[in-house]
Amino acid sequence: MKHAFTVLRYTLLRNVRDIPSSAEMVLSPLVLIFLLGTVLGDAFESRDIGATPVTYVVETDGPYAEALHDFLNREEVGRYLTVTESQTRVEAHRLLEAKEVITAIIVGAVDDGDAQDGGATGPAITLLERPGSSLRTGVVRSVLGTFTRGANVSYALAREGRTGVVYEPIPAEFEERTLSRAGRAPGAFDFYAVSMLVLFVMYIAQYAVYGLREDLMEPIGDRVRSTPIAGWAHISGKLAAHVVTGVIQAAVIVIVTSIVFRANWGTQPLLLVAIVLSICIFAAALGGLVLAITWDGRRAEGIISIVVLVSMILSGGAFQFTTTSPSFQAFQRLLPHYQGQRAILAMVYGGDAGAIGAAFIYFFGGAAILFLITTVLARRTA
Amino acid sequence: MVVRMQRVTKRYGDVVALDNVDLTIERGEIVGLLGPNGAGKTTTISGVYGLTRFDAGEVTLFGHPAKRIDPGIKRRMGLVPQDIAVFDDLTAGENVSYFGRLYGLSGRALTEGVSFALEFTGLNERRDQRPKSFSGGMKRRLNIACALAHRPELVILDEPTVGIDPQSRNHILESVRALNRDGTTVIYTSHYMEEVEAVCSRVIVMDHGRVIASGTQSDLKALVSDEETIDIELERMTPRVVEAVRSVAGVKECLPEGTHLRITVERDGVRLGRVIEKATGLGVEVLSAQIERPTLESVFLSLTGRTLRD
Repeated sequence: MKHAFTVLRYTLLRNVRDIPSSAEMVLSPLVLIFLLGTVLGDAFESRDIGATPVTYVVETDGPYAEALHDFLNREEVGRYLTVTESQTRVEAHRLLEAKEVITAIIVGAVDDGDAQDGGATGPAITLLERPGSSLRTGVVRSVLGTFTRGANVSYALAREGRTGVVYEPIPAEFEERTLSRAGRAPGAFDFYAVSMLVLFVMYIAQYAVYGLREDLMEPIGDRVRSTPIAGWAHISGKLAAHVVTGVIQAAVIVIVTSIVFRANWGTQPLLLVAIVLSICIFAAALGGLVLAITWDGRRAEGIISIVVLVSMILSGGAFQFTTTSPSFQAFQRLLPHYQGQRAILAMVYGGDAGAIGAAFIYFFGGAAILFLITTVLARRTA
Repeated sequence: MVVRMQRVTKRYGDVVALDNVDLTIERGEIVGLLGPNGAGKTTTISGVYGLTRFDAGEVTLFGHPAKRIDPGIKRRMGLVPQDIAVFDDLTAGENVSYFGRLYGLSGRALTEGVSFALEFTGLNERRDQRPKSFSGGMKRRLNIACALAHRPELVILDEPTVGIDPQSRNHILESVRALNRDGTTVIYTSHYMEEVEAVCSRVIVMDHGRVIASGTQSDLKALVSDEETIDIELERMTPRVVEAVRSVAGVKECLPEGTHLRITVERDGVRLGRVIEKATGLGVEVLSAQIERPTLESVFLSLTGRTLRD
């Protein structure tokens, strides 16, 4: 252990003196955050999409049709929908094709099939939408959903024998709540600060490769291995130095992005440090493993730079994308960038605490396994 | 006995780096491993240090089998690698201190060890400077200092003078002699025969992974020839001088070449003064005289048919 501390101490001293590398490690993510945050900032801004123009056709009679008509013409619905009534489906189609409306609501006759099967009966509602308007159609669907749920409740109460049940929406004001505990909606800088921090911390793997390559494979390696230091003490001291350096540089990035970009890092600095520490340890162990497998410093550095970058992109760290493929989502969970980013975002925005726990297990457990394999491989190869 | 290697073999693929090597090194010796590049010198010392695993044979260090070298044994040795192995971003003092700590030094022993190593290599005044500002010779000396702070009983120097100026080379050679005077056993590899001749009490000549000769310098030179050549330059050449010199006991051959006489004599059998007396006695002045003895270079040439730098 004494030898490991000696290696840690002197490697830290060398890292501190290596000002160009330290500056590069800190400045690179800051520049990336600035570029991505500026260029892709619009993708993170919320904007008022206004009321969605809608037409509706009611082809049936009865209380449901009347209630829907009243509902769609209420003042509070007007905040979200600009409603015009069409007399026929043909007219509704024409408005759609003329791009005068985004969506057409068709309320058809009672579905006899359902009635014969003893199921619930009611008008058939069809939504016709213009291509590329899924967001606005979603608004229509939501608004219509509130009416349908209310109507269903009225119907159920009537079936129980209650009389005089009338659908009457309760006037209510929506309260907009941001995800941020600091009261600020997350923007591009908030997101990219997290993503680039994780990316930078994962690049600790490359520094670990450089340090170990120097001490295991270059002339100095012969000298180190001729001393009485044990292999595990040497490797762990070396990796620990890069972990400490990484955590300090990460702290600088967090402070600078907080001040310059007003990035939101939440209110739990110790938890943030713990997450960053776990990623650093994992990254250092990953670097050691790749070097031990390839036993070629340049190749190891090349592999790591690709793996780290691809991991970031596939995790949605460069640009957000959604996927519904369960297998891809499962694959994403295996990526270190995904785990790190998810844990920090969950910590900052009060998300799923399980995500933080899962990240700790992933990074600490993974690092232990990687370090074990590295020590065995390094001894064998040496 | 400090080191003993018995029938040691090492192969790298089809290349036999060491072929049944036997050698012993006694306490207090300066042993020179002499041979051209690729002779197996570095592989030999790497094996002694446990940095290379041999395919066959046995090695003992300080009487202990060296299959897995005990940390205690490692503390008794110091390695000066062929390539300079110091950190450019640590000062000279920090470099020596770092490796001293890895050898188990701490506290006062470390402080004294670092001072000793820097003083010994003439770098004490540069202890707070980083090697990137050093000359090649100073880096070589720091390379040596890093192996000395723990005062090893056995120091292995692998080509320690490659690419340095004569002044630094002389300093290093004198350091090696001083180490040995303090009781340190030294293994010195080189392909510069002048260096080996200058410092080594015993020489092991290697070529193509084999030990082809071993012994003191006199022993090795005796392998080549039991004759010496004396070259005398005279003021003028006369037949009487040639006859007079030929008559000296121990002279085997005397050939005039212009004003020069090339005299072949039994090794250590003829005194130069006796030959000069014969010439001057006949009134011929001797302008210069030189004894040409076999060198390790000629020994190597004789044994392998190649020069050391081939």
